[in-house]
Amino acid sequence: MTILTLSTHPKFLVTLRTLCAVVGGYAASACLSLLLAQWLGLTERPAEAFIKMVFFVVFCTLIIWSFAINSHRKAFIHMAGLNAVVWAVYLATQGVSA
Amino acid sequence: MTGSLRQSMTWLHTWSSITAGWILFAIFLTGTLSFFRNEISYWMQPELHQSVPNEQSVIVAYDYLTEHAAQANEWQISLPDARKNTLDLSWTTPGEARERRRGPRVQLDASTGEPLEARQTEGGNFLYRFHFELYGMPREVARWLVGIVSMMMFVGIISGVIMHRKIFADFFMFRPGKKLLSWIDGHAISAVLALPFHIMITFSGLILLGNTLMPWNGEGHHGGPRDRGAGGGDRPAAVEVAKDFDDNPPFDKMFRHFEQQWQVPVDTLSISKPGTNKVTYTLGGGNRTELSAGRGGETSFTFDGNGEQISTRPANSEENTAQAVYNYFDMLHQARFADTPTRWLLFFAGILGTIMVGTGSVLWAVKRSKQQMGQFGFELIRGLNVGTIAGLMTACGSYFWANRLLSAELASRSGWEINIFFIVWAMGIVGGLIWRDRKGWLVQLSLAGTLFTLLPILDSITSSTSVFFALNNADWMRLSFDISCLLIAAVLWLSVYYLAVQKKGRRGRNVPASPAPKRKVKPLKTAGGEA
Amino acid sequence: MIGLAVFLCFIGFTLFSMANKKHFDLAFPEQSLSTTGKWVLHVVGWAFLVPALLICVQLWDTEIGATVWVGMLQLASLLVSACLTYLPSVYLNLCRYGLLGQFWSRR
Repeated sequence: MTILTLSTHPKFLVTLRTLCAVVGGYAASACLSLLLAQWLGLTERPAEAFIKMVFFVVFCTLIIWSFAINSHRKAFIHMAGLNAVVWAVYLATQGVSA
Repeated sequence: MTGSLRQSMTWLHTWSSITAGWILFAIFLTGTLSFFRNEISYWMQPELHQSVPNEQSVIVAYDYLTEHAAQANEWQISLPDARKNTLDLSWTTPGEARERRRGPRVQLDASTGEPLEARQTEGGNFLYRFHFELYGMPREVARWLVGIVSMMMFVGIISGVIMHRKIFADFFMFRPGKKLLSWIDGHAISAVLALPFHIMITFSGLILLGNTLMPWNGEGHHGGPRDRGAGGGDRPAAVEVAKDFDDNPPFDKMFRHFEQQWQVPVDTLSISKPGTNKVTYTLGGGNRTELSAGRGGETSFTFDGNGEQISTRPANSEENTAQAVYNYFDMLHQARFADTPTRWLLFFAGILGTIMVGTGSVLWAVKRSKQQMGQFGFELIRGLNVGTIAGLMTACGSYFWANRLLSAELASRSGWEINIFFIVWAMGIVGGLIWRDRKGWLVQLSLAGTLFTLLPILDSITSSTSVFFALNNADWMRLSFDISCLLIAAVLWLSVYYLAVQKKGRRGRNVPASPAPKRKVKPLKTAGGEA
Repeated sequence: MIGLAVFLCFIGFTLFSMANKKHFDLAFPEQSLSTTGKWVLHVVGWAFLVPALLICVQLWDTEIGATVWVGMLQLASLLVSACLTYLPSVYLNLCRYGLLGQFWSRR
């Protein structure tokens, strides 16, 4: 099986798509919930509680959003883009506060 | 995924749910039963059934403690309440070697004061533990697994709502006896009517597993400060104190004061420095009014030796909104606050959740039976449906049977009860994989039905007291367990009946070996119109 | 009091279900449900649910009361559904006579 046929094989694409939603979604929602907690100025236990709640809501939304996009390619690009943006913002704010 | 939004959501809903369906079914079923875990544990310790609480129970406890623990500097009395018929006492004595973590404790018959020795059993705690830590695997692995399937459930619920546009407009209709349509209706009704519960329980379950699923969150100060300095070796030396127990404490006065104030019965009483003139009594009860307060949401009153109230320890109140919302979900999931009607409402919604998961899995198979019959994946799922849904019912029934039939003195008997649960379940799965058709369902459902039908009889024979004794003494914990068994049995037999009728092919259209029969043909339901 | 609250929720949900064209046509084959009629049914339905909420708040205080109320709504909606499926005559009579169905359907 050449790389070309593999990359268009439906099962492979579905697996990739799922991975993208789960791993990409996890990373992005982790970062987003950390950012939100930081932005609201929460610390310690309340921050932890807040992150737990926001994380799962965001994660679920991102998974559904990612599967709602009607092209594999677009889904990968959007998820990568989202991650790039949120992590860039997060790292930038960390740099400022550090 | 590459089609319309509805198609993508249907795909996501189907696959997110069916791959996790059986483990979710087991989690939902055992979790729902856990709402009644005290009651189940009580039923599974028939030695406790003879205890009948009365007005004098607190005096019984007091007399026992004056006799057996006069030198203690603190007594804790947990009084009988709606979920407990026994007296549970513990105390701390100065100078006594602290071999047990919490000092001596004893369980008493609430009217005679005689100590009760219950058989060794995990009782309802096994079902409770299983629903988030499974069994026989490392705790962290199990929690990850449960967390992942809960997330799949969460995605399944939300995508399910998106895929039916008209879900809320049209949800009262159930069309029985229509095969696929009935399954769709049953699935949609059980899902939509209890949707707030499903979302709440899945979401709160996830946040309770949050420490496992998000190891990067927080700085490892989970569990809170456990050290209260009381542990350690610094225990006061034993000094014989002259104690005087001649006067009966003013229990009546204190209890009336507390109960008038809160309209709930006193269920805990702690007595500090008993038998001295510095004695104080602290009364507590289920008087929580806020879930968001988290633990410590109850108010307790402290009285002096004359029964005059000297202080109040008010309930916590959570200032921080995020923490308050978190506490709300936390308390709601664990239902520690719930009184009897609330507990039944939660239980009822939990049953709907279990039915939703079960009908969903069966629906998957019924829908595909024409095209995919004989294919490996399809047959596997069909078999697993039989083995998990009917098999688990049989396993639960066997767990209760094992509890009563295994000798009370058997070594590691609580382990054996659990082993029997899993052996029966494993047999159910193997049986289900071999006989995947209606016959498999019929056999396993009848088996479960038989087990549950006979449970009240078994209870009456093997307990220290008969069911009539429970009736006479209004032992509702035990009676509701037995009645619930009969209700479960009725549902199981009803399913068997429908299956048997279906087999005769009354509608002329003989469908040989048609898959997935009806389970739980409860009088539920409505329609969700998606074909 | 608890029973009363559940009953109020039941009536409220029966009114909601009547606002559905399918069920409305069952009870009043000759009438047709107007948009106004639908709105009226919803408003009256809520007029039954709100007192139930007040009862729950009375019994359990605001936070727990509201939660219990949601649980009751779930139970009541299931009862309506069961009634519609297995006791259709009870449901239809309730719609026609018990809940002034004639009155609503005329508008």
